[in-house]
Amino acid sequence: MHNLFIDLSNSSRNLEKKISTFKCTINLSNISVLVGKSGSGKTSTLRLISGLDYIEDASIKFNKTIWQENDYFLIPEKRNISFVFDKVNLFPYMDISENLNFTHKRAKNKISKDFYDELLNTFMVEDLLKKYPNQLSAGESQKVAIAKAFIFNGDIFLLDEPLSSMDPLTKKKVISNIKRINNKLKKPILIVSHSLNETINLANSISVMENGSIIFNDTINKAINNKSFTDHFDQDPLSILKVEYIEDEKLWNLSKYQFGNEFLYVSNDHGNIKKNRENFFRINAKDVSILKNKETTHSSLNQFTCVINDIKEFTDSSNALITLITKDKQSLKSSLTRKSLKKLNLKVNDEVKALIKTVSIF
Amino acid sequence: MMFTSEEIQSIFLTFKLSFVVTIILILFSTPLCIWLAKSRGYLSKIVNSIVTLPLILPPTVLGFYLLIFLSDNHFFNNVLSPLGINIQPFSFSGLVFASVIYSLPFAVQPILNGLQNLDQRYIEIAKTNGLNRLDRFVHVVLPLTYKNFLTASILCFTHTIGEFGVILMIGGNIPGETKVLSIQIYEYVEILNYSSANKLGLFLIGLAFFTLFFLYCLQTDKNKNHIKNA
Repeated sequence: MHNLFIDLSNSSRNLEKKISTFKCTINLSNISVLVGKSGSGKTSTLRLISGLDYIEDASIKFNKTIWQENDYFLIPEKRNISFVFDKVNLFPYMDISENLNFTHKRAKNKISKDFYDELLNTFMVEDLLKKYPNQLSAGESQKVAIAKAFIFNGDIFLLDEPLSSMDPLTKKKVISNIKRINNKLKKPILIVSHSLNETINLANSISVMENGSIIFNDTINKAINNKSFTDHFDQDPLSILKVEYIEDEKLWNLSKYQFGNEFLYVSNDHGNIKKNRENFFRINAKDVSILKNKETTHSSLNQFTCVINDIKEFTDSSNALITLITKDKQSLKSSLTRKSLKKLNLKVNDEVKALIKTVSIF
Repeated sequence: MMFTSEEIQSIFLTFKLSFVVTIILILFSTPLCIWLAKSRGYLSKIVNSIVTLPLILPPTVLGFYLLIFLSDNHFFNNVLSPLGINIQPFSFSGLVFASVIYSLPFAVQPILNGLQNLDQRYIEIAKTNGLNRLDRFVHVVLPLTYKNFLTASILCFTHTIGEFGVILMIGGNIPGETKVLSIQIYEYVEILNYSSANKLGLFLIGLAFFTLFFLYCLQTDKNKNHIKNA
């Protein structure tokens, strides 16, 4: 387990507008994703960690190595970081193959020629080698940039929105390749992302930034039940449910998933749903309705016993938001009208049934 | 169009002077510009103003003070003579010294321009790739600004070829030592030898035209290679 320690509590006087005083230890297990709204200071944090920006009186440590403390400051050249910038990552006067070779030559932990070739193949840059950076599309540049980061093979990878310009299909391939390659290299990767989909598919742990501070930092399993994470991505409230794939029920064209000791069925009509053992489902709060009493006859297949944990009424609108806890302690949000809330007379700690109408798989 | 041996000597001397001056200027201006491009304080503004002065001052003013400075300054020569450098007025070394001062803005401005407009993102890429200062200069700064260095060299070279006032003040008219082309032309005009003055004049016009033509070709080339932003 690697970790990054950042302490800005003594640097209040010297901070630029984008980042504020915070102190935290980011645990980097395999792939960590740093999320947050635009302008929340994600890029500034990466630049601070890499040493490209200097903030006086800050303290930064990577594992046991001190990168900055008191008057000591290790220059970025010596931190051995594979950094992917959000825009430009290649020298314009070299073609792609020269760019990548140059990086390979300069790398401290040089990867083997075989692995180098494998990376070119994995990230689909072989056809781009003779082109110049200004001849590439934004998505192609990003593939090259990721390959370059792995070729440099730094002690830590800092990637600033490395997938933002890729088409969905390429993105999917690249994500699974990043995970595969990283299982081999075993280097900590910290990725900045805006997309919930990317985050869920990549992350082993998640950090959330807000107004220049890291306000949440934990494993993905904890993050999906934490509203500081789930509230970041959409205006409409949503929940993320972790489920295990069990089997396909061919007769009904359904796929069966399990969480806790309850089953959830998802239509298999489109056929191409991935069959990982562990899956995350996105459930919009307005697709969850609530049944009270012992009533069980209902058209919905997906009914789960839950306990109400929190009720929030929005007095300026017709809506209320209920947070439910499932039997296996995952949180599930349901959005209903204030009128039905009144009618059902729901209270915290009531046991109810949640009906899930639609889910989408990450 | 045939040149006399005296004229060929002048042409040779002129080119030798320009060549030496250009080399010294590029070597001297590069570290100076790196510093000027980086620093934000008043000191750099003062230095930059002093460096640019020769662009505005009449060459006679510059030549006059250089003459006084070089004739009188024992300290200056005491420091340099152990290094094998002896700078005296009315000698080739004196001409080199005066020309370096006189052409300094022509080296500094293009180089400084290039360094100030250098896209810092490429420097940051180099830093994260572990390149130290020298490596960054060789592998990143030079490939991105070599045209500025080329422009500076050409401007210094041609500007030194066309120099007159300062040389007249400080160098006089010694064949093979200080009698450069511009002085030779002046001499021809004084003795009413218009055809020889015309010959050398046309030679200089041709030289100047092709240099400028080459410079402008270089500049359009620069626009073509414009770096696409993502």
